Amino acid sequence: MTVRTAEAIVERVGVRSRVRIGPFALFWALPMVVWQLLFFVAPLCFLVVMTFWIVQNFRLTPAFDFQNWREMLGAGYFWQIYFRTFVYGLLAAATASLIAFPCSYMLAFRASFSLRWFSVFLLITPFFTSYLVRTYSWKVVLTGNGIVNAGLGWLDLGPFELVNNLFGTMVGYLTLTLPLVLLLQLFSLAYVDRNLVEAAHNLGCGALRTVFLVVIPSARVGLVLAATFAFILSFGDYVSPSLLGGSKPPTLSVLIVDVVKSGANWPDASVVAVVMIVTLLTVSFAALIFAYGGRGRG
Amino acid sequence: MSEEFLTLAKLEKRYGDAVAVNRIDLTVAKGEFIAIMGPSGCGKTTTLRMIAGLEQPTGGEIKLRGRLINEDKPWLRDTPLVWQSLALFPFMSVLKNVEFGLKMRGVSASERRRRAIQWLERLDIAAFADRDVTKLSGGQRQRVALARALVTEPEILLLDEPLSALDAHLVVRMQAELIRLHRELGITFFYVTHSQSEAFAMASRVVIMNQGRIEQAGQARQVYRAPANRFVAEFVGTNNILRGTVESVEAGRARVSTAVGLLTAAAAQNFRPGDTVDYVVGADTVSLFSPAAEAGENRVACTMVSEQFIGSVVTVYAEANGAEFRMQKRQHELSAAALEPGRPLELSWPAESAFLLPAT
Amino acid sequence: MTPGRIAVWLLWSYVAAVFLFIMAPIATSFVVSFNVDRFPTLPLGGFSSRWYEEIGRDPMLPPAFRNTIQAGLTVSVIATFLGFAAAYTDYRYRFFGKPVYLTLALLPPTIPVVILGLAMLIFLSRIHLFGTLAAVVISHVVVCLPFAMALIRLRLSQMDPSLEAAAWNLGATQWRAFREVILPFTLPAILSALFITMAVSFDEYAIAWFVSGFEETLPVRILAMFQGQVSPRINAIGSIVFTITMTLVIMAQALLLLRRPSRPAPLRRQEGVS
Repeated sequence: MTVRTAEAIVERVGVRSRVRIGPFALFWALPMVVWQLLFFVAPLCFLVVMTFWIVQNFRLTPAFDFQNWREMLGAGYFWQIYFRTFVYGLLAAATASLIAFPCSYMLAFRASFSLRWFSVFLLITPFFTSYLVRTYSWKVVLTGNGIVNAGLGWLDLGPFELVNNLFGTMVGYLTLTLPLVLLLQLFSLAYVDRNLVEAAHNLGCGALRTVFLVVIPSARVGLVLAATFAFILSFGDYVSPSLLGGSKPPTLSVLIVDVVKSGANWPDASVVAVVMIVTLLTVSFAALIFAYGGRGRG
Repeated sequence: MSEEFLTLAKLEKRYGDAVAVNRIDLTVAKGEFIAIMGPSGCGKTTTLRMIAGLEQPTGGEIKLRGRLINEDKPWLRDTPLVWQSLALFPFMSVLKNVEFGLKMRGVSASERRRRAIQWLERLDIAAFADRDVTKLSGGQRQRVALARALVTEPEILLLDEPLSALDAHLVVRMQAELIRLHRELGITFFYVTHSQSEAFAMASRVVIMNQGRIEQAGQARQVYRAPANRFVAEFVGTNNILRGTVESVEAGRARVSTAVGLLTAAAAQNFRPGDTVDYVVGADTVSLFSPAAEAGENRVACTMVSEQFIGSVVTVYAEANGAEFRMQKRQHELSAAALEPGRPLELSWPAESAFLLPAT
Repeated sequence: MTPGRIAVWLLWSYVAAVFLFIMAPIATSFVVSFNVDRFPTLPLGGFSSRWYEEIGRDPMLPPAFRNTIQAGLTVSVIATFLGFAAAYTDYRYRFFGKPVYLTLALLPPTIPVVILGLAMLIFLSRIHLFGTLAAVVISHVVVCLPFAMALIRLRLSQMDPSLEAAAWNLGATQWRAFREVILPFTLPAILSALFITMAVSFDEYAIAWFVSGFEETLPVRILAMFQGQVSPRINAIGSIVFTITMTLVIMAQALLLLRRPSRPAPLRRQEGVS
């Protein structure tokens, strides 16, 4: 039997030892698991269970019935809403990624160290402020006689319909996703090997071409991750479509809220929710494969 | 020698299929300064960590003062460690760092302060008592680490390559410091390192480890002059090693045919003609051939390749028939000869300087 | 000016524009809340604090505000504790199924809040917790603990891994070492986590809307106000909310930036095997 030394492994892994599992370890390891299983996993599983229950005589009855699924998935309007939401999500992801990229590129490659960290600081702060109030702010500013239209009026432009339509919704989605997308793109671009970029320039590749041929492929994982998050957030968002988009036509989240508000048909709402979850899981999975797939990395 | 203090018996550490420490046996006497040496991954650090209780042996025994300590938790053993990264607590002052071990033992605040300051004075850093540890120089931090480990007056001190992060001139100073401390305290020092110079400068006994096994253990000089096998011969000192076959053995001297010709070695009574051997001669016993000087019977014609200067020692690299030869001399011994790359050289040494190792 | 310089200048203007877009809603909310006009337009009307006075008279706001604060404080403590525990476990132990463990802690932000809200509504109703502040606290902890965990785990990765073992080696039991070494070192991150989780809970509107029932939180109240007329009163509340949240977030960031890591510098080039 060949004998390999493992000390190299130990030295690499560091000095954390494997003390046997005792009360100390359990005290630290268990609380999070218990909490998440009880209050995160269980409710989501119950959501799936709920899709099979039925509302009989205005009462919620446990059952194992595919009725809700048939009704919802058979309804034309459901699929309209579904595809609309999906497309909106893609649009939001693409728009946010494209708008953010030149900005994150400049910050990653052309900004000084302190400028970069200052901009991170500037991005984190709005990320944690009330998305609700920020969206409302836009509504106030974008309405018919609001500040933006008034300003455009001075230039003899408009007035434009900036709310209660797709434009408004997109502004809302950008408000939601832009800080996060910028941050994720910035971090992944900051880690692109500068030597590769220099080598490309050395070989006569112009700045713009280098971006497309070297930088983007190198930062691929981070860029895809950013876009995926933008999709997830927009796909599931309620506030932008309702407040800035006028709720008509609705998206899936608006649908869920409407169903709950009017009569609380939880099984129906659950079906919509589960379909959303499955969609998001599939999209995330596909995005991960796309991000890590392909011939080698950068 | 004094009584057994630390015993490792068939000590083993395996990680699944891989074995880091392969059933080693070692006895350390009280008050000994023993150095464990070897290349990265040889098992020396794992052994140290097992003694300290930071790794669980998967086989064998560790006995301290005759008592089996395999199951003892690290905080119950009295085996303070001086870490490679020093591991000083960054949010505590120097004094608080040094007091730590005493605090854990429930010593009163005034008493532990007194004892800690004593140690700071002993190591010449009392002026920094209230300083933030992150604001000290490498050498000062090293002393804090030592004081912290010794303040509880243990019977054994474990050291894990403590000097590896220091500048070269500081290393020499700290070595002297450690030797002085060892002499004054009379406790056992168990010192792990990959540096030969550190091990041979400070330790009385040296253990060479490789791939989880002990290749050789013994007095420093002995290991240096009489390596037990090829690995030790290659690892320790600067040795010229040539594979060859024994042609004849007469009166304890063997004639061995090698790539550079027929060479003679002494103390070869255990070898027979036809044996495959490794012919070993220390680079420091090799000289430039000179008819006037006392010549050895071994002579090899080489071509000079390069020289390397470390302090006052010159290592001359030469090549003969594809085999590399090294000669180590003090600078003043060689200045007479004009050495240039490409120039032919004749190297020579007495048979007594060379010895044979069975080829494995 | 060469085309290259123009391009660079344009790009930097673009960067400024993007940041302006991100900051604009916050700034305009402040401006509108102090503007005398009900429907702000250009040119802006005069300065007025009438909207703040109006919300001061709104009877539904103080209870909502109190609820938000109470919930926020409770959530931050629980979420920080759980996040810390998970971060420490990840840092200290290797075990089978660790990826699943970490996913459990970090997954919530990837689930749309409307879905989580619905799930919590249904679930908590079954266990008769609907309409209580406890429901809000429970749901928010789920959503906030990933932030706490990430912050503290980040801080732990800055620690020299030998520090804890050094404490054991010097006679500290696991609990003692934890108290003397881990806790002091991670304190800035713990405080940061407390602030950030409180900020997240403070602004969380969706799940709260689903589960709070009559125990409305402030965001839920704001959501309700959307149904009514457009009014700068919302901007007034919004500005107050912004101020509180931004203060929390800025303090959290400051805490993280002030402490330097204790990781030792890379070791010098080692003497080779001779």
